[in-house]
Amino acid sequence: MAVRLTELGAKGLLLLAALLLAFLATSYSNLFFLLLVFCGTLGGLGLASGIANLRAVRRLELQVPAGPAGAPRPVRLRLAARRSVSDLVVTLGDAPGLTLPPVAHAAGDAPTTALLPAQPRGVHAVGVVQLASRYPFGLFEVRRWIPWPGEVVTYPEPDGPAAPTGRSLDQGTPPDPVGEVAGLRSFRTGDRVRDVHWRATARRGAPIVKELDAAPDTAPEIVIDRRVEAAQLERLLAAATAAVLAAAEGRGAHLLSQGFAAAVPAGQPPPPAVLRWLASAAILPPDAPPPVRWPQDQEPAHA
Amino acid sequence: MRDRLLPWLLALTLIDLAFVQATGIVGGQDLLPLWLLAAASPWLRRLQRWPLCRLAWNAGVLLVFTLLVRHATTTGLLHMLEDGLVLAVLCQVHLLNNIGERQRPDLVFFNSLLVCFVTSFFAPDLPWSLLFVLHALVLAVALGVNVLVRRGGVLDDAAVRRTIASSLRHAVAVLVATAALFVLLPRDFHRQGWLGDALAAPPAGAAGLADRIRLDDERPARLGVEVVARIAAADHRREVPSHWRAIVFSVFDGATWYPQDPSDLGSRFASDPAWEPQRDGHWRRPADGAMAAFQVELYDRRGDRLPVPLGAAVLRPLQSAGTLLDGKSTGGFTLVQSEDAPAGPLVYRVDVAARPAAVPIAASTRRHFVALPERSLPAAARALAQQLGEAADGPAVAAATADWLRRHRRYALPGEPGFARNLGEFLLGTGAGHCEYFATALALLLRLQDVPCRVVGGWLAHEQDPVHGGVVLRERDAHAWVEVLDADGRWSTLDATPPHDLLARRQLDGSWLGSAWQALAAAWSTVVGFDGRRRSEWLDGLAALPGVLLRALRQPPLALAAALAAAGWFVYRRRRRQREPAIAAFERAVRAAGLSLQGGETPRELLRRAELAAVGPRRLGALRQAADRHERLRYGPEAPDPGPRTSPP
Repeated sequence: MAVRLTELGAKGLLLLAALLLAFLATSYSNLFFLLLVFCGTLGGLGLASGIANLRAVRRLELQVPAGPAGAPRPVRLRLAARRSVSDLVVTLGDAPGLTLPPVAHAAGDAPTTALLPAQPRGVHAVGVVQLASRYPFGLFEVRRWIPWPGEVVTYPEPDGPAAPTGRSLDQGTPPDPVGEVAGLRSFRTGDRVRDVHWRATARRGAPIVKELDAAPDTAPEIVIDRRVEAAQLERLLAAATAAVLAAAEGRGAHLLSQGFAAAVPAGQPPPPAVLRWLASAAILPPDAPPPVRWPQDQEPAHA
Repeated sequence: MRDRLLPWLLALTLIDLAFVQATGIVGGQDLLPLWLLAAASPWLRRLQRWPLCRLAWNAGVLLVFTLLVRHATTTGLLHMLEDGLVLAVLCQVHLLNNIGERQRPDLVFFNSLLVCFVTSFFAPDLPWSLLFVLHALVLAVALGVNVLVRRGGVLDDAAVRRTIASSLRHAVAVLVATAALFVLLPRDFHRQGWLGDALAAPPAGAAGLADRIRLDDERPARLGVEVVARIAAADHRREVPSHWRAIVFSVFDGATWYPQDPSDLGSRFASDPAWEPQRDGHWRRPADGAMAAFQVELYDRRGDRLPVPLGAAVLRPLQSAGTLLDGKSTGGFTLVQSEDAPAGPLVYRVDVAARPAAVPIAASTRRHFVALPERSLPAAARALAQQLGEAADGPAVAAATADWLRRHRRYALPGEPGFARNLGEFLLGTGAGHCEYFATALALLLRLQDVPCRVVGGWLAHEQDPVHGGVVLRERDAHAWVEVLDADGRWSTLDATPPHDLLARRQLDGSWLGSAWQALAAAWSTVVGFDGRRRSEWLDGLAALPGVLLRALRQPPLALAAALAAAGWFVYRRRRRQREPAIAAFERAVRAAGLSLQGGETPRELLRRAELAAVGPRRLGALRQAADRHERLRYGPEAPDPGPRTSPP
């Protein structure tokens, strides 16, 4: 735990010093003494309350989902404290850019959601979480660090029409399977309305639905050759991100690059490993080997 | 966001204005524009968006600032203080009307504290103390809200309400800690600063005894209620004498009365019967007529004079350890205390005769008591003396003059509207005055008519003490009157101050509010007059407190009550700890909505019932939120096992 004077506190300390000087320069006066004691108590009690405020925090749970660059993302925060904690500012690590908006009051174990500001693409390893508070009078800032061995994964901002922007991928809803129309049949209970073939229904006078084939295993391959300039890689990664997101909502895909191969399953959020790779991918020298092809008969072990 | 803070800054500014108003140094008409400008700040701030309005405002402030500085440097010290205080509150109002989204309110906080500091020197009475407590509460809340506002982020009503409640709790804690430290911290109460008294506050204009009477002292009077002495007659049927003299003034230079000095008269026996110390420690002097005995408990030992009536003939110390008494040639006593004098009142018994003994008065002594200032005697005094000097003999002249003053001159305290700026205005009748003005006017008019007299400072005993019996003398009962020398060499008391006006300002208000005010004022007086002796008394009391409590707990009823209270507190704390905050909040919201949970009713069902009932939208919204939180807590997904102190994403 560390304590430092805020700007207001520093000015207040200067004022107190000036008043103390005036007190010593003049003959003793009860009211002068009383007011000096009041000012000193205001600062002392403010400091003690500020320390007690952060000491009350017993546990901190943070869920920071992977998010796209350039857009804020919701962070789930759950604070366990002995009593209400006020004016709490949470910073992931020591980077000011990873500071969550302040929480005026947090009590009990009720979780809250805060928006993490937009981040650049990358994987930011966080060793500790810093809690800071200027409670109660703003004269001191008390800081406390809690170990948090996590990382903030920020994948490229998707660059494609199919990409859902500004939404965390692991919160997406799984899409419906897509397949070819194999034929028509009568409506049965449980069929979806969207599968109703309206022309046939109109012709026959009874509800007719389309019968779909199972989706063929034609997942596309997204291949990224990283033997390019940095700017070009960023564009490639942005396009690949859009494609991955679209594939996750569609028929799935395989993401391939030098030293990396992973499947993006259909109808599910993209695997964290894929997002992490997109967040951390870096350029390779021109003499690096080309990307590997997707093995047709086996799944990649690390996908 | 600033909108959350501005009401508190406005409150601080209004309290600062009240501080300055309480000093009485600045006239009400001078402060009225500032009161109005501060109160109108919510609207005036909107005008600051237009550059022309901003320019006009700043030019106005600059102009007033320049005028005040000019006035302060060209007039006396008192006006410099007045201008300084106006300047301080003008700054507050200016800052209040100019704080935007980007400006920080730090200066408002610090300036407010400075106003509080400075005004404490000029009005250290009960209104100031109440304002100080209010200021502490508002300052704490303003600082707390400022923390939230400066952080930014979501700031809803609930967050502000919680901050206000929390800040108020802190403010109370700060005030209690301040009071405790004020009593406990050791310090030198007689410390002289590096600059001596050059920068020290002038002594408060408290009613009390001084070594000199200065008529040019324009400071507002503070009528303190601290008990100076209690007087009881040995025979309860006897009335306590009204005038208890402490110091005698005989030389006037036109503005100031100086104490009677025996060296001016050539002998210490020249004017009054002298006190003679007796073997058994009491003092005696000749007197005429029947005696009546009175016991005096003198609580205020700060003065160095003992109050005794004019006819005092015997003085017998009863409880005076560490105190040395000395009879003076003017009929009074001085007292000297040793450093180790014990706490508690000085108790003495005084026997009072019907009248003091006659003293042969020499011609030179008589001339001394009719002497007039060589200059600075108001012209109105001579004209008035001529007008009144129709009576034949001295006593008749004195009685007629005193009666005329009582009927034709108004009583007022310094700082009150219409108070005379000088003795001339009072004699002319264009200004009112207090007892010192009446006594001075009477003495001058008598001396102009060749009636020997002197001015006496002391205490007016008028307040019956229903608790202890007898009468009680308070700080505010300090008084001045005249003693006239009769032709046979006896002094007699003559008071020209209108008794009705005088007592109207000094009588206790019998209502509970008045009694509470008196009690608070007395308590505050102990703070202002706190000294080493009182600190020792407090510390002794605190040290004895555990023993007192233990002795009290030996009484079975008290012990049982204490045990029950402790058990109740323990159960309450335990229940409170076990209770989920969300459930407690839901129950509070239900109570606030005027409803109660019925048997088997779920929160949702209660919510539907509240929607059908005539519950206000605000309370209904709060109830809905509380029900949501309660539902999430009870039926939401289980929280993951926390494991270590933090959980990775």
